[in-house]
Amino acid sequence: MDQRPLLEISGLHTGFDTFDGKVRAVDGVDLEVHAGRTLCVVGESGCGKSVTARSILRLLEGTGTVDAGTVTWNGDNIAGTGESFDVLSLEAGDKRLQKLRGGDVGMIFQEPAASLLPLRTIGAQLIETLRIHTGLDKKAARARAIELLDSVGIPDPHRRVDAYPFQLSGGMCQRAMIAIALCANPTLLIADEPTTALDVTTQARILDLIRSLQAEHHMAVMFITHDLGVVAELADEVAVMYLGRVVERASVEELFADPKHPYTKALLASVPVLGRDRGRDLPTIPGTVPNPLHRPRGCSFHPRCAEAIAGTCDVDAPPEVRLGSRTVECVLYESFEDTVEGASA
Amino acid sequence: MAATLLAISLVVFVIINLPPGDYVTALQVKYSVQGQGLSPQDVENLRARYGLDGNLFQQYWHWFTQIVVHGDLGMSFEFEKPVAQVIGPRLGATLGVSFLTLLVTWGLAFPIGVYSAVKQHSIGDYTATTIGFLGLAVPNFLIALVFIYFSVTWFGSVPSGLCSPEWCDASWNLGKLLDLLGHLWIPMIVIGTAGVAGLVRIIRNNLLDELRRPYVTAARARGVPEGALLRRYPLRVALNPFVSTIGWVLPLLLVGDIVVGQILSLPTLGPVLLGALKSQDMYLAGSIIMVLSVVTVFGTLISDLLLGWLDPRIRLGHQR
Amino acid sequence: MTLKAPEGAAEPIGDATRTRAPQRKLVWWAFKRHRLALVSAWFLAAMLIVIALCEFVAPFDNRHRDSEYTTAPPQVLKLWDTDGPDGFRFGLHVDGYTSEQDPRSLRITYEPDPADRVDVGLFVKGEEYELFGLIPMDRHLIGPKDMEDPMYLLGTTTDGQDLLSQLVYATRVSASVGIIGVMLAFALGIVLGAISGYFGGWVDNGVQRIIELIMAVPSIPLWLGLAAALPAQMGPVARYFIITTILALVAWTGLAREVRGRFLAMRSEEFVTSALLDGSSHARVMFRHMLPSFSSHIIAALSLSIPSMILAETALSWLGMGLRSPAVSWGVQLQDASKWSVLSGAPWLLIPGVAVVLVVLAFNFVGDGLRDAADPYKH
Repeated sequence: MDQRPLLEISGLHTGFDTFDGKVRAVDGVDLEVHAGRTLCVVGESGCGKSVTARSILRLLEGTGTVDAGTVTWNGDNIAGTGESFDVLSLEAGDKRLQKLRGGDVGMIFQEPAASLLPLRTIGAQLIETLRIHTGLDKKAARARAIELLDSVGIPDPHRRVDAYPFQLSGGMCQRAMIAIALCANPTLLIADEPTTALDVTTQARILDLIRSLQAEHHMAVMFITHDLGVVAELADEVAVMYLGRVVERASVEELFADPKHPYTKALLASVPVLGRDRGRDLPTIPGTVPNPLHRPRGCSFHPRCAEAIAGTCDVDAPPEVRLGSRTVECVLYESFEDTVEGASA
Repeated sequence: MAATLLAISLVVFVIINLPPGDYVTALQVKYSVQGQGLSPQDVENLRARYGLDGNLFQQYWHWFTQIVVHGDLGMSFEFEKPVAQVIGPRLGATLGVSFLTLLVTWGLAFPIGVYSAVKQHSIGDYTATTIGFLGLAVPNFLIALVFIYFSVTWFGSVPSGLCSPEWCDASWNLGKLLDLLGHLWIPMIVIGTAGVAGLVRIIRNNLLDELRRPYVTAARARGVPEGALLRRYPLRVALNPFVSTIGWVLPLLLVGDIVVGQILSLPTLGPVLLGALKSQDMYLAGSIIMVLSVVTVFGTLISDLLLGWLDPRIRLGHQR
Repeated sequence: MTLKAPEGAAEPIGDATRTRAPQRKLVWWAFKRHRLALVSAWFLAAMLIVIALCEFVAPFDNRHRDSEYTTAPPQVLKLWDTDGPDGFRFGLHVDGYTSEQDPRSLRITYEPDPADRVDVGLFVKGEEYELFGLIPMDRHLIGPKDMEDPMYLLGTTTDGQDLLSQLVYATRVSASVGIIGVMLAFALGIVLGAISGYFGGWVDNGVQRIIELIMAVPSIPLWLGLAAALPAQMGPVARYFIITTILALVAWTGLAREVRGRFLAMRSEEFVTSALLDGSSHARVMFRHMLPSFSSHIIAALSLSIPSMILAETALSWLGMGLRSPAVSWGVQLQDASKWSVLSGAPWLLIPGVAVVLVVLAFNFVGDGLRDAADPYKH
């Protein structure tokens, strides 16, 4: 039972209808999040990492639709309170989806100030969520809200509970968002670039907060970021995404010590290292991320890849190669366990 | 606020004084038509009596203080009565019709706009948007003319006025109320169409904007049920511009009254204003324009107060 | 807005022509997608041609009056007839009228009479006119082959004037009031808005107070008041220009606000600073550097404000406070329809209203299309 991941994403395809055609933002993603562990999903903007995160709780906006794949939630099974189920096949009004959103899974976003309604106090929005998921009465919920605000490090919570989002700084708003996300003791926290819009010192404090809260609540964290520094600091496992696919998965130590995929190598090489990189140009990845509407044939990274093999990489999509406990999607490697293609790992 | 009212009074005074001649010249013409000439001394006295001696600034001051201190808006040449006596009884009808239309306009526009935004690209949305476009493109007098055409061809007559003769002098009861409503629906449609069309468009666009905001996704992510989500989050925000539209819907309705009053001969200010303008009865016309402007200014003030009460960003002096 | 990424990627970056296209082209591409706006643009183009060639397009002159046929119904243009004296006959024609007088009301009503055939031709000889006020001509796009015959495709007015010809002339007047009025309003709005937003401070304050003052007075009563002050004996041309100016004087405020907002936001942009450091004059920076960067927004706002101008003129004229006969505009034409007794027997008098609605809709659609297209990088 313990071996079972908390959340399994398999074969996820998510697309957006646009005037120019269907954009396949997520094109066959497999991911696992294990209870109590931290998975970092890293990639350039536009690679589909945010869309993956939103697909889990079915929060796609506009013309976005999940076209294929499953998102299996094993949380109830592990806790012994219920069966595993596929989130994507639930009815829109299903109680389990309601319980998942904000109950078992908390979520925080990139722009904390914009993610709170400016017309209601943070207390009102926190109490609303508390009452939905815990059934506390008004008074108890307010007391709990103040406790929660205190626990995420908001000073003077008695006063701040009645503050409007625009009266607080970005960092404070993100703390309030975290308090809302944690109010029902979730087993998984999905953090969608929560520090991108914040300044560097605030970033570090929010990361510290997330780490200490994770230890305290024994929850899993799925952290979406484009910042490799954050990955190194926070992750247990890492998934590298490129153009809607996971191109490499490994533990954080393995990934930084020995990156396999050419894209991962290029990403790591483009991070400046204090001391080493003084006075020399940082290597960059040539070209730009292609438009997902006109996806290159074969391996989608091949036009920018330094190690691309003509006649192979531009013809066939690369297989997923299993190298022990890690995987990489590249023809350069031979699997030394069993080769698993595409489907569930 | 006070500055705006002062400015309005200036504009109105300019309008009153634009046509050549003044009230006394008009009187002179009238008396000479009747065969009684006025001596220069009489003219002088009349000018002094009506505050028309002295330079323009003194005239303005006289006119302005008369209004503020005595509530005296001047004399209507056409009616040969003080302007206040002409306007008074009709102002109530105008405000009543406008206020009722405002309520109906809101009552219609809000649900249609919300439905249109929430069910974007549905048949209902397309219908609402099409009607909205048409409503903004059709001049309200044209709507009135079309109504009259069908009314005459189908029923052989047009319901004019606000009440039928047999009810007009009756005291208030259910029959009179029903009769009033029977007369009111055409003016309300004619006056209100442009307002409804404009409001539906505003609400729809605002709500569509708001529905795309991150806070909607965030609220959904924390498990707020869809109905409550719509009501407590984007609708709250989309309501604000709705309230702030009083400022422009009100003049629209008052102007609609000019047109409808003319066609359906309602006992409102519109027809009087038009008649006064045509005969250059400038005190009457200017006063009506001023009354309408003041009503608009108060409408805007009320909507500003409401907005402050609804939106903490304004109440707490925070820039958007 | 984390979803920005995949949406941004929707612009085919790989498409070299698209990334290198100038903004004008991008706007045009985006505009073309808006089907309704494109159709409306063609419609308006056709209207402009009619306005320019109005004497040629209209079958009859502006002053043409046929007292024999007052309030006659529209005729149907037919390509052939079979009930003529010699059976089937091909050729453009309309049916003439038979008249009947009601013995009690003495009102004359007209009915189309299939037996009375009026031959109609294209490019026929008709009343003489000067095209563009210069070229003397006597050909009309369409008209009766015999000038004396009645051909009233949209019926006649209560005065016995051809509604179609009147409509063509009215389109010239009403549409041009809208367009010229908006141009005037824009000139005022752009200059004052630009100065106000660019310099800020007390200049801005002063201009804003003036705008607030004008906005505080409801516009149509203000229009009415100003129009009423015009002397009654004023000539139609002078009246036309003064009414247009009055409309513009009230309407410029909204545009000025928009321009001001944009200048205010752009004042601190780097390209403005660098242009100033290059030694460009304030006027040059404002009108050569800043204004072009939102010209498509301005064009969009322009075509969105024409409808209200046209509607205002129509309402004003209909109320008898704007243009007056012999000048003919849509509003003046519709005055004919305001008597119940007349309207009930002659619904075709409402046709100018249809023209108003179509033109206003077209301007709105074009404006909407332009506004959406104005920001080709937005989506």
